[in-house]
Formats: sequence, C-alpha cells, structure tokens
Amino acid sequence: MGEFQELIRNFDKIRDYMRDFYIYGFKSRSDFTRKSARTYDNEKRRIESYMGEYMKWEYTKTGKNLFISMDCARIPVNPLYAAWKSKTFTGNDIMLHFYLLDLLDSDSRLSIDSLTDLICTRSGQVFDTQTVRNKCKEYAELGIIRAEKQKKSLYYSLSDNTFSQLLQSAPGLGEAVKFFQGSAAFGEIGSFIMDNQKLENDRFTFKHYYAAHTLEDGILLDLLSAIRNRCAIEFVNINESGTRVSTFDGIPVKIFVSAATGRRYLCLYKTREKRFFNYRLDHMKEVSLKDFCETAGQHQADLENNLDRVFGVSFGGQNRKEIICMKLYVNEKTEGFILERLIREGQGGELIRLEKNTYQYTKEVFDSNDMSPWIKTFMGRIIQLEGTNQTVINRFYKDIKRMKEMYED
Amino acid sequence: MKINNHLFSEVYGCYFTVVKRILEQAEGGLTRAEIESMVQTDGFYDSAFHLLPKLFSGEWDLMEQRTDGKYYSKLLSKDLTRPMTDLEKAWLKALLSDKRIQLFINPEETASLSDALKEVPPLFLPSDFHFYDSAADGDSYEEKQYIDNFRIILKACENHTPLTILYESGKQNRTKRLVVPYKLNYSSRDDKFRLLGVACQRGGHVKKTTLNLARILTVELSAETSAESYAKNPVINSAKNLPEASTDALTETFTNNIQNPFPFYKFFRKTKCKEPIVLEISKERNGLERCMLQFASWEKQTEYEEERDCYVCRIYYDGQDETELLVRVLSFGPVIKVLGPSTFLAQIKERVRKQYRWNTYEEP
Repeated sequence: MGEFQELIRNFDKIRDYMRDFYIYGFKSRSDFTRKSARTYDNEKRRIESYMGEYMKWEYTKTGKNLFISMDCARIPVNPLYAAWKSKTFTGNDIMLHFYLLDLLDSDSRLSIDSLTDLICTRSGQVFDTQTVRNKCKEYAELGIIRAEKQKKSLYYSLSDNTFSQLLQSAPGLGEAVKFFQGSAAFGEIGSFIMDNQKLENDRFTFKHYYAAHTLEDGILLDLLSAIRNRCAIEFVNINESGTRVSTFDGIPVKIFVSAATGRRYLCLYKTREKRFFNYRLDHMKEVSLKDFCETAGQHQADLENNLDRVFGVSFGGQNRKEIICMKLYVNEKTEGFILERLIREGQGGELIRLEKNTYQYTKEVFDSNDMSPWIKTFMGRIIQLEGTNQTVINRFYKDIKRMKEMYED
Repeated sequence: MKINNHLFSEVYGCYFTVVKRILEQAEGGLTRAEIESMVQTDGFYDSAFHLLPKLFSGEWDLMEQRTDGKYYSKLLSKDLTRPMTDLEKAWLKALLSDKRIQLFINPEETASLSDALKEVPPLFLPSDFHFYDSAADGDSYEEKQYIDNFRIILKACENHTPLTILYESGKQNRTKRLVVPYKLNYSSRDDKFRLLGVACQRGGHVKKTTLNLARILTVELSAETSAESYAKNPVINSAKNLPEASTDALTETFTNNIQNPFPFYKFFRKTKCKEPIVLEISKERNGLERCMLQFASWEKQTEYEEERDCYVCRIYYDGQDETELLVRVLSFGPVIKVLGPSTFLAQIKERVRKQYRWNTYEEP
C-alpha cells in the first residue's frame, strides 16, 4: 500500500470528484460508487487540501456530506484552478527546473555538456547528460528555453519573451490578466501567469461566474485544436444520469456557452445524420483527433446562417421551424424594465405594442421547447401563449395549473 | 507553430510556485519557521506535510543549512521567474482579439504586443464561441468616453482615490456624486461592468453603492486627494464613525491595505440574507442537475430526503440578488417548489396566482 501523495499524475482522476463535490455537494461516502472507498478517501483528502476554507461538511441522515461551497461573487481567483496546479513531479524535475533558470539566461548559450557540468557543480548532485538533455528538450517544447543548432550541437538559452518585457510595451497588461483570468476562456492560464509574476487580483470581482468551467478546459483545448485544424473527432460521451457511455464522432464546429447558467457545449456536425448536435463539455471524455475534413468550412458557414434560430442549444426535431408568440401585460408607467428585459434577453424576437400595457413577443426558432424556461420567467404577466408546437404550449399551461395546486394554501 | 497543449504541467504547479518564492527570499537565510509559514500561506492546506521534509532533508538539493541554523538558497539568481510558456503567450495573444482588451491597452500597444507574440497563434478566437443567451445591451467597449472613464476608475481603485462622478440613472436623472471606489465588478451574463464603492450623500451620510459604468457620463479624480483634504473628506470621516465591524473584518482590511485603511469592510462584508432560500427539487425533467448548475455560483447546501424522494437545497444569497433568484426559480416551473423563507415564498405564490388568473380569464 503506497503512501498518500497530495499531488496527482492524471487530471481526470480529480476532475469528476471535484465536480461532484462542487456542483452537487450532497453526496456522502456511500454515494461515490465509481471506485473503491479508499479511492474516495484519497480524493476527498486531496480536494480538502486544495480547497482549504472552501471545503465544508455537514452531518445528514445519510452520513457526513462533504462539499465545496463558495459565493462566486466574492472570490478574486477561482479556487478550482488549484486542480490544475496539482501535477506530481520527481526530485530531478524540481531541481533541474530551478538550476536551469539559475544558470541559463537569454543572452548567452550553453552546450548540453557545459550546462550539465555547471548544474552538477552548483547543486553538488550528479546529473547525467541525458537527463539534462531530456529536460531541456521538454522545456524547449514548452517555450521556456530556446534550443539553437550550431554545427552539429544544440545550444541552450532562456527564452527572452518574458512578461515583464511585454509589460514595458503595454503597462495595462497586468490589470488585463487580473480581469481576464476571471472572464475569458482558460482562466487558469491567467492564474498561472499571476502566480509566476506575483500578481494578485485586487481590482475585480465577478458576478454570474461559473467556477466549474475550469474542469472542462482540457477537453476544450482538444476541441479548439480540432476546430482550428478542421479535423473530425471521436469522443466518449456519458449521459446525464451517468449510466450510459457512448462513443460519438463528427466535425466540431463551435463552442456554445450559456452566460446565464455556465453550461458549455460542443456544436458537432454529424455526417451520418447530416445535422448539428450539441454535447455538454462536462459529459465528454477522451477526445481524439481524426482526419482533416475538407467540408469543415462549409459546416461553419451553415451554422452561422442558422444561429439566429437556435434559442438555446437545440436544433429541433422534424419541424425545424417553430414559432412562439407570447402576449404580455406590462405596466408601461412602472415596468419599463420588463420591456428592457424582453429586448435584452429575447434574442432578436419581435416585440410589438398591441395596446396600452399589452405587448406581443414573437420569435421563430428551431425548437420552441428551448424557450420554455425563459418564458416562465415572465410568470404572472403572460396573457396568452401560442405556438406551432402544441406540446410546448400545453405543457406551459399544465405547469401553471400544477404550480397553482402546489402553492395552494 | 504548434503549441504544446499541456495545461496540466508541474511548471504551473503550486509546489513550484511556493519553492520559487522561498528560494528568492532565502538569499539572506530563512529560519525553518519562516519557510513553514510561507508554505502555509502559498501552498495547499496539507503541503507543508509533503513538501517541507523534501526541502529540509536535501532530497531536493536546492537549499543548505548553515551554522546559524538558517536555510540559504544554493542558487545565485535572485529572480527565478520563468519565461512564459508558449501556452501562456497563446492565451495572451487570444486576449488581443477580445473587444474588452481596449479597456486596458490602446491600439498601438496592442499592435506592439501582437508583434512581440507573432510566433505563437492565439489559443482561441472570439468566433470559436457562441454565447447564446448573453445580454443584447452589453457595455460599449469601443466608445472613447467609456474607455476613458474605465481607466480613470480602474486607476482610482488602486489607491481608493475619491471620484466625482456624473451619473445618469435608469430614469434619465443626472446626479453628481462623490464616490470612494472599491472594486470593479463584471457580469458575464449582463456583459456589464459595475463600480462598487462608497458614496457620500447629503448631510455627510455614506452608503455602499453600485454604479453601472455605462451610465457614468463623466468621472474625475476628486479635488480632495491630498492627504490633508482626504482626512477631512466627509465620506472618509463618516465612514470611520460608523459602528465598528467584527474584529475579523477589521484585521482583514488592515492586513490588505495598511497604507490606506478606508473601512470598506463596513460596507462590503458578507451580507448574507437572514434565512436561505429553501427549494424542494423533484427528480422530474432532470431537475436536480439543472438546478445545481443554475445556482452553482451561489453558496448552497443540498441534501437528499429519502422519505419524500426529493432533494432539498438551501441557497445563501445577497439581498440584492433576490429578484434574479426569484426569476430563475420560476423558470423551473413545477420541478422546484419553494419552501421558504416566507417573504420569498409569498412573491412566488403571488406570481403563480396572477398567472393562473390570466389563463383562466379571471381578472388578475
């Protein structure tokens, strides 16, 4: 039985547990059935260590529940970024990292033999040339050091494009990093820069911030790479209840993001079905890039042409063209903010004034079911709801009736 | 150029960051306690247990203990900041295509950065993403006045320099206000910046304020920025005379801002509602999953109720989010039942009652 290690080799190992502790937060030890109880204990211990003050617990009837709890409007940097900072390493890795930074500079170049000698002298340790060469190769691939060939030998120096040099060109870059680490894709990379440059976010707070995003960024990186290179992909998909694992393939086109709920989806063109589908990033695993796809550009253009009819993420069923029409009561004197909201959130739907305090919102979409949650946010003022998909309309009225019964005193 | 796509690398790791900070400060020697304290501050909660033995034993041969008992770095360099990786550069390059970058960097600077980063492709492009439900009335990041205002406010947030702001309310009323800026808040859903600060009202009263940046017409540093006038500033004085906050909050503020102890803690400490919103979530329509994601950004607790085969979720919220939460809860329809608190429940009931009347042709 090995000794417990705080750091991990495989990110996917921590990804699912961290998500469950954060998103759900009600599972006790017995609910985690994916792996053994000992695996659960180890992952729990790691997450407790990474999350520190954000890890909470309570006793319930089913046992002790551990969960990650935070008010996202108050955190300067996403605590879940810690998962990306937990990669394990060897003693050689950390020693060579610091001796390379100590000995190399951007002005002079060293051969591998000279570099190895200097490292051995300064550290008092014996490193063989091949070990140092491998580390240099790895760091050259990362972009940290530069390898230049002179005659038959490689000479190494430190890369010179450092953040402080960029700051001289653009002094506002530091503040920009503080902002974008909380508001752009791959915020953890901004956090890496902040750690390295000793920057702290003392300027910005973020509302409607969805911390769990970061756990899907490994998948996102693979997907963007496929989109950029116009490659088809294959991936493993787990259904919402976690009971079915399937493998899908297709051509990735775009990433759909909900600013309101934080969900992220891959928009995939499936060649067999000849249509677009959206898949949640947090349900995807093991993305592999396949062949170059000549038609990828055409699918992107097709999607762009159809985006205004996708209200959420559904491309609909057979109909492909549904109309929804909502008549609302809005007190013009006191409720101008409702009209503002209809315009702000209505995704270009037509809004017309029928008479004093009565308005009509109309929108053509692929799937009016996608609009149902948004429509219900106007509860209390919907005079009439009509549409071409009668199932959606009937469900709305049925829901209102059920809610009336639910809240009856 | 192909980027090494390893997001998960030890060079970004917490241990490397902590050891870097220790080594940079160990030139003049650090005591064991000082090193332990640095690991406690910058490491994970349990890192000291795993990291320190390797550092002190010499297993990671980076430090040496001398006769004075202190630990010294074996490295000669005082700055161990690593050059940026290509992945970091690609991320920065992607930011240059974001419309919000103009708030921080002018076009000439952007061109200069673009040139400096010419060897790496941007990690992503704005066209890679489709934000299907973001607000149609986001802030105008291209407007010169907006950019100028943003930069003045951002700079003022650094030292919390008082600002004189001409503000237009939602009802088009214009008022001039004296505000001590605290932080800038950004909402991705609304695509808006808001200034959080403390405003001076008539009679020297002070109040926490949130101002939409898009509604700020003009902003200038207040004339009262010298130390003397700052001390006499009615905002600062009335703020200081407010009832004392908790010791924790007081310590936190003074620790973070020794030079300028404006008592923001009195205004921006956590103002949780007295009672959380309590929701009963059914298993219908994947309600649990949807609900957990919808309310993920709030502090919450969830529990399974075996007897009733449903989940009960408690959401702890700031009072100013109440309307937003109300609307979000309604969007779930009968999948969620509000159990409390009574005032929140009453609002839900009222909306349901009104809606029912509309649909049964009763007068609402």
